[in-house]
Amino acid sequence: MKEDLTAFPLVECKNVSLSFSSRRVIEEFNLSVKAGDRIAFLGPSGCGKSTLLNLLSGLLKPTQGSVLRKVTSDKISFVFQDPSLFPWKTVRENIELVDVLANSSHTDAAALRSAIDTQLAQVGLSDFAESYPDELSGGMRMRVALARALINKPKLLLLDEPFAALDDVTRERLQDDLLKLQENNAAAFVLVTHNIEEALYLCRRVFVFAQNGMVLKEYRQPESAEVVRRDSPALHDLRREVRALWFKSTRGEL
Amino acid sequence: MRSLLFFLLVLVCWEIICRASSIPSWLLPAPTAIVKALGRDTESLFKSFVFTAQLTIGAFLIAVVSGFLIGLAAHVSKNFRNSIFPFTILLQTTPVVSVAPLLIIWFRNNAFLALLACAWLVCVYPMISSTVSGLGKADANLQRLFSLYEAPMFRRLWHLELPSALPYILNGIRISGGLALVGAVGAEFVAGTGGQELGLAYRLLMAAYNQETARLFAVLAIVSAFGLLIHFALSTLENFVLKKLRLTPTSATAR
Repeated sequence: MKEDLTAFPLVECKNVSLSFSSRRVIEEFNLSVKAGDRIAFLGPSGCGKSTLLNLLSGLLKPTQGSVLRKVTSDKISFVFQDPSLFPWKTVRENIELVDVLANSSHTDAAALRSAIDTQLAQVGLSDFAESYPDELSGGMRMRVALARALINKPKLLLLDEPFAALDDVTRERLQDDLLKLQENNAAAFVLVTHNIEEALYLCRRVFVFAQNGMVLKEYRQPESAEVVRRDSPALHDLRREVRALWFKSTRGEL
Repeated sequence: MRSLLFFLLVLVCWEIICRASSIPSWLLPAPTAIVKALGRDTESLFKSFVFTAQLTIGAFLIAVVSGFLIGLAAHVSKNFRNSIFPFTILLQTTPVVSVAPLLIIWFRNNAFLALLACAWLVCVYPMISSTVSGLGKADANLQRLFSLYEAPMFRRLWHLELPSALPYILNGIRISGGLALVGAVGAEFVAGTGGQELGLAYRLLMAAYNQETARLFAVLAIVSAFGLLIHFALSTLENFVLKKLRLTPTSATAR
């Protein structure tokens, strides 16, 4: 009988702690990321959410505990708050370079070209392949960043507040795009955000962090749950609950 | 355009004051007298200009290449950076007049080399400093991306750090260009050109010695015009490259 590969974690954190100098940033954190997972780290600025992404990707090593990675680094992708595109390269060249960096799996230039075209079509930017980043709007640049992150067919997508700098309408459109892209590409993603609604809408597991890096609570939605509607009462109630928890934490009532 | 008009206005006022007042020409010659002085001795002044220009351009090019390579090495190797740091500070803080006599002794068989070394000392520091600081200014997120994919050093330099450093490096090149002329003329002064009738500084010294103020101004005009030419040429290059690569000037570059 064949083993179900999706059951194996891509990354597993076991009792992970991290200190910078004498300051403890991450405290006894446990997490298992499996294929197709949608996980959010939600918390105030400076609580160590982005640091956790660096631990998951292997850019940082924990001071205690272990991070086991079954996924190689060329199958991990990052999307940042700032699209961080190369201003001197066209959209196509921006995507191309990341593919080269991640040890391209594309057999030749034509295959890569066609893969880039496919990614650009997925994010609705087919007509902008030869444009430069400064010719695009903020939302379009973020779409390029998403297309770039998906070019190496990642198994794990790490999103560091990718929509924080966008207006509400663009943010919502990109959130929906992200869900579609994740579905098409079957990648797991870990999202860092301080937007409660965004975390609950996009992710099935939401870790709420306190300022000191401790996990206050982990919210889980059933695996079978359909994508939550933005205006659903369930999402609204959950949002209120998380908000109340967060407030209590900042007032030191927990 | 406005600054050119202002300059012409200053010249006209200067001419009127010199003609209308009793200021002796040895103290403040009129602009027309300066132009006459320029025209009188064109050949020797041109020869001196060529010498100083060669010295300036030579020192500038060597400073750009060597400053860039030193900066690059300091960026790549922490040990090299730590070892060389005190010496780069010395380059900036030690007046060239105090080192010139030593260089003249070392290069006594070749005055040009001694002057070149003096001018290089004056203009190399901005190149080193701007290269080191520019190479460290690449986008932090892109650095994370290159680290995630364990990109080799050369690839990181070529695709990320060097293009990101260009605004800083071009800024350093522009500053070095101006300083190369300062260094060249200063070095000629300090070295006294070893009695050789060569550069513009020699012409300045001789004019001052003979109290030929109009001639002194004429030489000064050549030096200033050359300085402006260097500045505008390098600024044009800087703007062209930055525009071509769609890079924004650094705050230090913004003029």
